[in-house]
Amino acid sequence: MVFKAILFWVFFFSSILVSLFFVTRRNLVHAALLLVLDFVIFACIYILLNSQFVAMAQIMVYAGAIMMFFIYIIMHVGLEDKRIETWKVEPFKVVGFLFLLLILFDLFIISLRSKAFGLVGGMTPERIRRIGSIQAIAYVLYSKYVLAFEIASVLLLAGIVAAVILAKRRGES
Amino acid sequence: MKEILLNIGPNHYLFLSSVLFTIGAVGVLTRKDAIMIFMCIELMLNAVNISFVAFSKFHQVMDGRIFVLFVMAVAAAEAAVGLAIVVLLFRTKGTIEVEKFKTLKE
Repeated sequence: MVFKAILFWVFFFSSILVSLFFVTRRNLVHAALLLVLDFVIFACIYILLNSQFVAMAQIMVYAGAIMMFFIYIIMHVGLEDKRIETWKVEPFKVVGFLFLLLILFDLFIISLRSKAFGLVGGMTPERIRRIGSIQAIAYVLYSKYVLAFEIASVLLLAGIVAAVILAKRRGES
Repeated sequence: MKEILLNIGPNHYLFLSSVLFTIGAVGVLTRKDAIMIFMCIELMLNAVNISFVAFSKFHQVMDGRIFVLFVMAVAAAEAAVGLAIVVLLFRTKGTIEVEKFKTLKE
């Protein structure tokens, strides 16, 4: 119990710190690598939350595939010194920060006051361990959510076609 | 105080999720690079995923974890299309700063 609490606080502060570093980086490659580190920390949080399959999917899909794609596009677009953005204080940014502080305060109040123990299903950690964590996901995914699963595959196909069509077009400026 | 530090409940995960979501939103609103904005959106999606998994664990159902997988699929499709658009913009204008794209404004 204490060990899990210590792990939670380590992941809590490290993920917030890495995210802050990520948002403030000027260099895009540094930002992308910090985001990969952030995703790995999120995978650790998922393991702490007893969902190992989601953690592995997080590492493979997010930290592996999507961020590799981002880094590839950053390399393709190129990094010049003149493109590195400068940061100035502007009125709309100040207003935006105030709104965001308001949102954060609101979320803070909600997350401290909410009692998230309303309905409770039967998937206790012992039951998940008995039937296996991947089987526990698969039973639900391929019965209750099978239609959503098929729609997700069609969506991915549409994404592939759109990416190819968009990136193939050339010389029409 | 000791209770809050040692008894990790859903509220802790919700708070972590809200902090990360806010950091991502600040990034989306203040950065000018299109790729950076995309990465901040990914951070926001992940912040929501943490709260999904936390709810799923504390309610003892699998539905939240399933939804995280769907969010990952949508994020992958979004990244593919969005980055293709970024490449297209870079080819036509030679830059990816979003403030340079104001053809509709002029």
